[in-house]
Amino acid sequence: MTGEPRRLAARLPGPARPLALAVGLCAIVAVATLVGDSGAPRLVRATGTGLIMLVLVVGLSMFIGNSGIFSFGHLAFMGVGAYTTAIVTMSDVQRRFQLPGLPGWLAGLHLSGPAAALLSGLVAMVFAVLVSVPVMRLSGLTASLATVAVLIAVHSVFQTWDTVTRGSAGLILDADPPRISVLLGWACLAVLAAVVFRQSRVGLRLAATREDEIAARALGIRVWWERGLAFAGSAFIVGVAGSLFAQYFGSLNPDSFYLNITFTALAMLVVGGLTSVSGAVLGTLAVTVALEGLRAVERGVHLGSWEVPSRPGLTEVGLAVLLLIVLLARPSGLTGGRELRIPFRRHRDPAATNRGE
Amino acid sequence: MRAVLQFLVDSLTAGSFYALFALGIALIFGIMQLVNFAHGELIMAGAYAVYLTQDWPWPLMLLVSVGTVVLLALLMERVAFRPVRGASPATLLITSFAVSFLLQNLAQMIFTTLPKSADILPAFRRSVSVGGLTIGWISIVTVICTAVLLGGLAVFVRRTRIGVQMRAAAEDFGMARLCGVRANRVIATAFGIGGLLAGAGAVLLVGQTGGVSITMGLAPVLFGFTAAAVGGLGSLPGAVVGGYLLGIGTTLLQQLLPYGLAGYRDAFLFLGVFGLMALRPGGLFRVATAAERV
Amino acid sequence: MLRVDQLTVHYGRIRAVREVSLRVEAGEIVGLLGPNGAGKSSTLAALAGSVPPAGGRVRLDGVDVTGEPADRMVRRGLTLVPEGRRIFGTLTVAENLAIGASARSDRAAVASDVDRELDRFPVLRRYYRTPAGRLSGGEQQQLAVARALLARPRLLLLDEPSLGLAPVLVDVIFDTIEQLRADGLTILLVEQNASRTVALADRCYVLRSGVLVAEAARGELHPDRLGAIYLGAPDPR
Repeated sequence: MTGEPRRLAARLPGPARPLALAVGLCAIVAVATLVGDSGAPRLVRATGTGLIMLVLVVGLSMFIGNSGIFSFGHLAFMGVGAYTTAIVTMSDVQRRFQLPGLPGWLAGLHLSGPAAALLSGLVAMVFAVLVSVPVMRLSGLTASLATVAVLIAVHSVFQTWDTVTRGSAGLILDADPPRISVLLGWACLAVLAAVVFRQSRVGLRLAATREDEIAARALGIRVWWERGLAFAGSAFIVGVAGSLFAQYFGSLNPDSFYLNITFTALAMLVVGGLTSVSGAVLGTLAVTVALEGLRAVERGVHLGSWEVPSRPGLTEVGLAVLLLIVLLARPSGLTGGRELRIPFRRHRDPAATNRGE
Repeated sequence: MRAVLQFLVDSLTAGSFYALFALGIALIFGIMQLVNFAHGELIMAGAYAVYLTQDWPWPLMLLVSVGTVVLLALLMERVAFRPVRGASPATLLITSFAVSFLLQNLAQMIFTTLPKSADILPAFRRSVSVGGLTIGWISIVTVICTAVLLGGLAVFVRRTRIGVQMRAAAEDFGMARLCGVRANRVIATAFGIGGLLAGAGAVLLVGQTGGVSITMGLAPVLFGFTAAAVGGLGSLPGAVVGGYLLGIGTTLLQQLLPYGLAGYRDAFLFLGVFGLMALRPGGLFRVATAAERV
Repeated sequence: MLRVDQLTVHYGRIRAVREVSLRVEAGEIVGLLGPNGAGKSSTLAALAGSVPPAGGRVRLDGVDVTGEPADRMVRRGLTLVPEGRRIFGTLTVAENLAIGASARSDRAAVASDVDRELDRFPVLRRYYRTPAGRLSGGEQQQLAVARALLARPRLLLLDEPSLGLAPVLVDVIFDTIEQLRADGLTILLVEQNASRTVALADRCYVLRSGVLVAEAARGELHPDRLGAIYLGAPDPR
């Protein structure tokens, strides 16, 4: 990059050495996974869920964090990925039972877990590209609202297109769920992809449009192109998250990819810090832990001689309160939108340490 | 001929609802650039207030229900939205989403997810026969009430001092302040009126559907926001027009869609909205404040 | 009447106004000059309460009013007519004027003030019930000034009132400013039209790149000196 874009890039939060950062973040995730995996079954499940949410949130942050535009529609892409995987990985028996009307070529398709994940990502990405053509030229708020329309429309399709999705009843998979280590692997891949993207030319140009759209346009950055790329890339990751969701939980229905999960993912993004990958990671970790704590209380807890009765809905209320507190007190989240500084350095680079904040 | 009249009645009724909800959203958006997702929960709260007071004499029920919503709206503004005033649109959006989520789940804790039935005025259940058409009393009441409310609001923003201040603030908030308009007062008023519209809409909605559930606010806020967006977010006349257009649109889709595709009504509708936003982002009544002019 | 000490205004990382100090005595017209981007508008915006200052102190009649929001400043008697008029296009002329009086509660006095402004700017009387967006640039500028005057300010801040106006209208504006001074109003005037401002004002300050570079009384600022300051040369004085 020359001149102006470089100076613009230097204003962005946190110099980060991509590989070191990715490794550092993955290490954090791995440690947390190890801790979670060694606990009670409920905790293991929470860990698995957390890893899948991590892939989702990292994928989301790749678009939202870099472009500053809020996409609610990404949960639709996750759903597309999830249903794709569900269809191609379920056994013939299940398929004939749940989706008798499925067209022949689809019915014959059979993929293993990882292959299904990649296919899901691809299908989600293609769908996102189609959606993005009109959306990318819109300004921030209108674009966000357009994606809301996408989410609702897709949700409606999921509920109605019985032959492919079995409507509101949802689908059940009978294959073995992936191991925690597999989920961890995917999570690390997602983190790596997001970090690399953020530091890449496209990512930096996109961040420039977030900082000041008008200036970026004046510099000749084709805003819609950069956004479109990020949109597509993030849709791929989110599609993979959908695939993992389907494989791990073994069941899904249209409401799995609607407002509840959107809210949880948003909370993770905001709590961690919208604009950085570190934020996505830390936010997911923090909120997953908080949710587990809240769920324990919701089930009814004995604190010494003090009994807290069970109250369904408490978890969600607690999450909403947490999010509101963060929004009111520290809207930039735990990381303030910056990346973590990983102390590990392969060689000293005095120029890097002297470059601005 | 009868089909056309029936179509008109259905469109008007649906449109009235959408216009009411759209106005509530447009009012606040115009002044604060905030899309208040929690507006749906205001409606839900109003509905539950109706449920709880359904056996009371109806003037009292009306007063308490609408009053509860207005109070809740003012509280919402004071606690959740005032501290984030001036923040980025993204932050505002998420805040409203968080408030919505909070209220919905709070209601779940209190009322559980089971829908409840509420029979407010047995009179509402009756219909009247006009020229071979059966029109429910509730439809007539809805259309009339909406007309009265809309008229009242129009007078308010044109004739009262604070109404004119609201219009000025909606056009150029900063300049309004520079003229001495008190921000807090104007915003609180907008929320209060929004609450009034939501409360009225809630009462009418319960009258129409006869039941309440914690998720009942979702559809109104989505349709209301869509109507407001179609008319041009922030424009009050636009919200009203958008509401009635949406009423016509949904009724049309209902009639035209072949049986097999009927379930896709929402999908078609929002696909249409999506298309409209893509082609004409400013909505039908372009609001100048929507985009930064360079 | 107005004392500004070390005023600093930031927009994000841009330092628009850097430790500017100035004062305005009652009954004066003080000019604030400088090339584009010098920070003149930002200074006025900070004084009026549109933008919170990052540093410094503002005192109005001895009272510390630093950082007070715009609607409060209007009540203290300080009113700004911002650059670009910013009249409310969807409101009528009458409603625009009414908004100008938002901070006041004395209805009868407001009504007589409206009459006075309509006398001062007859074109406004003609278009009284018309949406202000339909007025021409010059008419809108007159409306903006009238609207500000309806707040009965003691100190009026004017940001580029003659911008984009035809010469004959520029005359109207400057005549009005003279008239206002005669009526006892104190005025802080930001203008591109340096020569007329220099002739009109009792004192002038010159800003460049956010910094105060010159202060002069009437008659001390010759076009050459001013031109040199604008172009970046150090003050020859």
